[in-house]
Formats: sequence, C-alpha cells, structure tokens
Amino acid sequence: MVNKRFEGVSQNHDLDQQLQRRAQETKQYPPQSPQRHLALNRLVNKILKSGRLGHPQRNLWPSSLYEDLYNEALQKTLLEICQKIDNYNPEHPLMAWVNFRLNYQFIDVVNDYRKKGITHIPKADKIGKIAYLPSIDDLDKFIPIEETISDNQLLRNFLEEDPENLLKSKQLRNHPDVTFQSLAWAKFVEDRTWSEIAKNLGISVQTLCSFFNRQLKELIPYFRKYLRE
Amino acid sequence: MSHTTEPLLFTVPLSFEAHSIAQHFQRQQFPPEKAKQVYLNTLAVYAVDFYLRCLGFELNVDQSDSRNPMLVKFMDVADLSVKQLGKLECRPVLPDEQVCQIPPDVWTDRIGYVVVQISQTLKQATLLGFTKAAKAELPLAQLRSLSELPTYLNQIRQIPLTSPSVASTGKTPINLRQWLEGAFETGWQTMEDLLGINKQHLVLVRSKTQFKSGIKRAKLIDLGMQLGDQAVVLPIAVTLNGDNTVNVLVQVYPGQEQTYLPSNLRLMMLSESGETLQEVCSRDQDNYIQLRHFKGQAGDRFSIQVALGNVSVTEDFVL
Repeated sequence: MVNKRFEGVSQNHDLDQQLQRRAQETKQYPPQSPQRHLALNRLVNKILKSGRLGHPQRNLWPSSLYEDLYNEALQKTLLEICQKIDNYNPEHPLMAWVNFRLNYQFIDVVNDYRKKGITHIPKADKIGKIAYLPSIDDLDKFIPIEETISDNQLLRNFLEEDPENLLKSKQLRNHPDVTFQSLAWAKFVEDRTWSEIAKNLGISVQTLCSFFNRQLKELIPYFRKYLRE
Repeated sequence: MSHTTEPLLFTVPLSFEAHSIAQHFQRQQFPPEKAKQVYLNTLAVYAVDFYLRCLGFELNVDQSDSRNPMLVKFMDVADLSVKQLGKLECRPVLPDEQVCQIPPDVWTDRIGYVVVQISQTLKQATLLGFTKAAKAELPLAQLRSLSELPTYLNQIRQIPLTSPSVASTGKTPINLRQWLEGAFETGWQTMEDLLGINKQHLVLVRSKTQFKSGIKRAKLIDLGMQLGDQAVVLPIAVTLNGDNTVNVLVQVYPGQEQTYLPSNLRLMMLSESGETLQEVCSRDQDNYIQLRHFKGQAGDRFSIQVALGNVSVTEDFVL
C-alpha cells in the first residue's frame, strides 16, 4: 500500500520533470526556428496528454455546455502558453503555470459567454440556455434561411442576364463557346463538377479551372456592383 | 508508454469561436451540401490557423480566398494565407475517410496541403499531416508527417527572391557542372517543390527528351511591381555529354499564381561581355517560353536575363 503510493508520487514527479524539461528545451530554440515549432507542437501534445489539466468550475455547469466552455478556454490557454513560453519560470511545475492560466481563461470565456448571452452562439437552445454546437449530422439537416435562398436566386438571375455582357465576353482561348458565363452556370446552377464539365467539353479540368478562377477574381467588382454580399 | 512510433499530430479543440466563424460563412451558402462543405472547410482553416498561431507564424486570414463569400460560392476552397510564405490549403476529412479529396479549384497557387480530420461531434480537429503537391485523391497513408512541416515552411521562407537589378551583379556565377553532382545553390529547387505536381507534369511533357534524364532546378524570379506580387519561375536543365560538354535548356514559366506569362516578358542569353546571344519574348497567353538549347565547354560563362518593361533580373552561370 505504502509502496504503491510512493510509486504514484514518483510517476507524477517524473511527468513534472519531463514537462519541465520539454518546456525548457523549447525555450532554448530561437523563436521562428523549425526546432522551436516542432518543440511547441510536442509540448502542446504532452500537456494535453498529461492528465494533469485542471477543470475549473466543473460542477457549476451542465456537462454539455461545460465541454464547450472548457474547450474554448483550453484552446486560448494553449495559444497563450505557446506565445509566452519564454516567460515560463522552470523552477515551478509547468502544469501549475498552465492551470493557473487556464483558470483565468475559463473565467474570461464565462464572462464573455454571459455578456454576449446566447445570441452569438450558434443555434442556442434559448429555453435551457445551453449552448449547442452542431455535429456532422446536424450539418446534413441544415436549413438555409430565406434570405440566402433569395440571394441565390438573384445571383442566378445575374448570371443569366449579365447586364453589362462581361460574363459572356470572357472566353477561353481558342474556345469562343466556353465563356465564364457558361461555366458559372454549369457550376452554380446545374451544380456540375469540374470533371463532368471537362469531360463534356473535351478540355482539361486544369485549363477550365484556372481560366474560371482567374476570371472570377477579376469579376468580383462586377458581382459586387449588382449583388449584395 | 513510448511515443516514438506515434505520428506527430496536433489537436485543436473547436468551440464557440470556430463554430461562429463557420456558421457565418455557411449561412450564405446554398444548397445544403454546399453549406456543409463550407462549414467543414472553415473549421479546417480555423484549425490550421490556430496551429500556425501557436507556432508563431503571422497570418493573413482575411486575404484568404476561403474568407471571400463570393469566391466560396463558386469554388471549393479552404486556403489560409501565411505571411511571407503563401497559401496553405487546409482540407477537411471525416473520421471514417481514408482518402483526402483535393478539388481542382486548389491545384495551383498553394505552398502545400494540410489534412485536418474533423471529429463527428465537430468539437475537435486534428492535423494529420501534409503534402507539398496536389493530388486529386490523396490517400492519408501517403501524407508527410506533421513533424516535417516546420522545416518545409522554413525552407520556403529562406528562398531569397532575386531582387530586381539592371545589370549583371558580379556575384559568383552558379556552377552548373556541380548540379550534375547534386550540389545546388540556395533558391534553386525542384519544379515539384516550386510549382506543385500539375505544372511539373506540364514541364516534363514539354521538355526535350534529352533533358528528361538531366538535372533540372528552378528559381523564383521576382520582377517586383511589374508583376504585382507575382513571380515567374526560371527552370534550367542540364545534361552531360560524352565529350564532357554540357547541354543547357533555359525556360520561363508562370509562377503559381498564374496560368500564363505576362506578355512581352523577355528571356535573354548574354555572353560574358554582356552581348545578347539569344532572345525570346512572350506573346499574349503564353504558358511558357524557352531559349534554343545550347551546348558549352567546361569553364564557359554566360548570363540569363529575364526582363519585363524596364525591370530585369540577371543570373550568371559557369559550365
């Protein structure tokens, strides 16, 4: 029993030592060097896997909301640790420093959450005040808002009408029938892939795509003139 | 508990900030499949952005195409603009996927492709690795380790863009014979590293057969304001003949940003005394230009000049 306990203590001590060594090593590499970049990546991994991250205010929040608040705070903490690694004093355990920062970040996130309320949080459940972030399954059920549908109708009309005849005047070299307009229509309205379009026209995907993308960027001001973003 | 065999990953917790950005861009998209693509793309960009910020890179997120709602409507794009380096594409994969699809929209104008696995709950993103060149279907097993990414990005940062000058610079000439022995000066890279796989293919097809077996290296040439921020690529291929002479092929290709060269771009071969020996000029929409290939003896010197308007860049060589 006694031995076991001591074993545990020494493992903890080892982990502390490893983390401290790693942080110390990271500091020794010059900022912006690939060595430091790699060391920071490894340090972050080590912190995440340490099992020693604190969980401030865990019992004060519903668990699903807590996970999101915690993730936000953890993310900000990791960034802070990476950016301020040179300030780390290796006489103290690294995780004490990390958890100290994590506590502060958590308080910030909670304050932010309370201040902004649930309005900036996607699809909040207003009754339960529980933040709700979509999963992949929810993305499949995504229902576009009315405004988006009408904007897309306007864009479609714009592609068709081409009020200044700019879209149809952009022709692929040696292929006067392949215009920006015809490609945009195939992409946006008919929802066809580049490989389908390329196959139909007998022109390489690469040629079509680079022509289209280049013209698109040049035509953005024209789009903006007639459409709202 | 050994971690040595585990591939290096980077995990990013995704929460309110990531999702509110993703939702902002998703909202303007239609139909729902497109909205889903944009949502996942945005999370992938967010994750790589976070990784690079942790490492200390400076980013131009707002200059990325993936943050332009109109471009996003027409393109499947998830780029992240990194200061001084260029665009890094961030492709999302789902947990059960073994292959990453890289759409043709993003085959050019990228310094690399980072693959990001997004969890089913969308609460976590994991950077799995990267590749330098595009491939329509990229098996995840073929990814380069994330541990190589910092070195790769650093290499790109180190490439000095040749600065504009009017005349030959008097620098030590580049010794092309050493290329045959595998020694290359800084800034001279493989076409794959400079342009990605698609243009490399183009280059190989167009090279004369005798140069296929030769050594080819290329350099980015920055003509400054004349080309906006864009550069052209100067590849030089050399082969050794039986009589110890060297064959040289000099070409100019558009940089990653462009399909065509700017028109009236001049490529010249100059003698040691500065006399023009050969010259070609690009027309409208040329994909590349090249000089007639030539042959030289050991010790022969020449210069190659690339010029647009009144700006020119000269490189000196010795055989």
